[in-house]
Amino acid sequence: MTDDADDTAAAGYDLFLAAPMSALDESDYATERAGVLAVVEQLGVLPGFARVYFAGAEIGHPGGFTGEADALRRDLTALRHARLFVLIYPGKIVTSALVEVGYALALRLPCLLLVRDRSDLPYLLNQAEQTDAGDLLPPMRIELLGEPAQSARQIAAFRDQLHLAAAP
Amino acid sequence: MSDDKDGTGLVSGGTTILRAYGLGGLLLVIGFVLMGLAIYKGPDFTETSTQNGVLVGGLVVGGFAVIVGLVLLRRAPPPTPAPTPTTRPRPTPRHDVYIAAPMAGFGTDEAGRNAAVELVNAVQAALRRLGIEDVYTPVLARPDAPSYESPGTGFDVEWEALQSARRYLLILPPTMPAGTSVLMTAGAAIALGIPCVILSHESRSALPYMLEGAVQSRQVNVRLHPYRDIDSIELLIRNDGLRLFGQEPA
Repeated sequence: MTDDADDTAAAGYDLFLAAPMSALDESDYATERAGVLAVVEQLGVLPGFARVYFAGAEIGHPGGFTGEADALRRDLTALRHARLFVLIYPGKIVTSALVEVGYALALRLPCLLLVRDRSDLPYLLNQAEQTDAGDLLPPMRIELLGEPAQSARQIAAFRDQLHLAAAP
Repeated sequence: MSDDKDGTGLVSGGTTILRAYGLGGLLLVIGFVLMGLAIYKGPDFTETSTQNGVLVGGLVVGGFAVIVGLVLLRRAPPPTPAPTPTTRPRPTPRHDVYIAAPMAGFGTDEAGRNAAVELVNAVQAALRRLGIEDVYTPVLARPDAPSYESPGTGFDVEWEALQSARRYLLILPPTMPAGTSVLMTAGAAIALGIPCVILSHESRSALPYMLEGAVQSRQVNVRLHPYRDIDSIELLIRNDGLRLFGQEPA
């Protein structure tokens, strides 16, 4: 898995998908992971999302999050080779996914944050979207989290809009 | 090779093409395959009318699939170019240390917030005794304790302070409040290559997964020090100085 992930990272990821995983209990983990995998599946039928990185894709239970240093290396490598960052944030929680958001913003990776309730987000992230910090930040948007198919469409629309915005 | 395996291979190949090139690419391939089969297998039939039917039908259906596939491929957006990470230079270092602390984790009442402010101020004072004068803290940005973790300061101020910091110091209370901004600033500091120190209360059980990985990893400069109270932090800073961040004092 590590070699595959490294090979794909070298080629670049169309999307880095972050979501709270390791901090969840067994039942929440299964539910949330299924939800994120459903989004990945929906993205699979859309053009341009062949390479999606989701750390929980191959970890079936929360106890599987071991080897933190290796996981960090994989995640950071994937982030540095991704074109787009999406956070799926179903509720207020202490999660490493927020660390990944900060990493992505600092790399100036376009970020889409899908949330059930905007007030669940750290206040700095809410402010980041509202502030006029164009020179400091990459394109960033906060939208409400819906069904997997809807999330996939939101992600594709965000990606497409970035492309249009970059066109001459 | 069994039929099952052939079928699995076809499905797998189709899925791979679908994921890589979308529906347009898949239709294009199917179209060419149909036309090829019509030309290759059509003559195998004994009756001329069947041969012609298979040939014409295969070419028409295959040609139609190719045309639709081409149309879909042309309409698909081109891939977004991968950004070059941290292409823009960081601002000139302005702050020697950026201190982050999840204020709500020290208690949601006034006493808890005051305790947090006292702790941050004590760390700032200990750093100043080492000659580190320019310290950015939430206390500077939000002098009133109740304004922590509320949108009292512009994001651009905090973000610019973080980007222009030489070092990042995160003070974690016994409990981490959910949805705290410090996890995000920690991630940004790691991405920017800023030496990070995490002062974690000794009663904390574990760090969030990524931060634990960062502490264990040699890829990034993140160090962890447990603390018991303000006195133990002051002692740590006094004894270790900039070695806390993996740096030798000038």
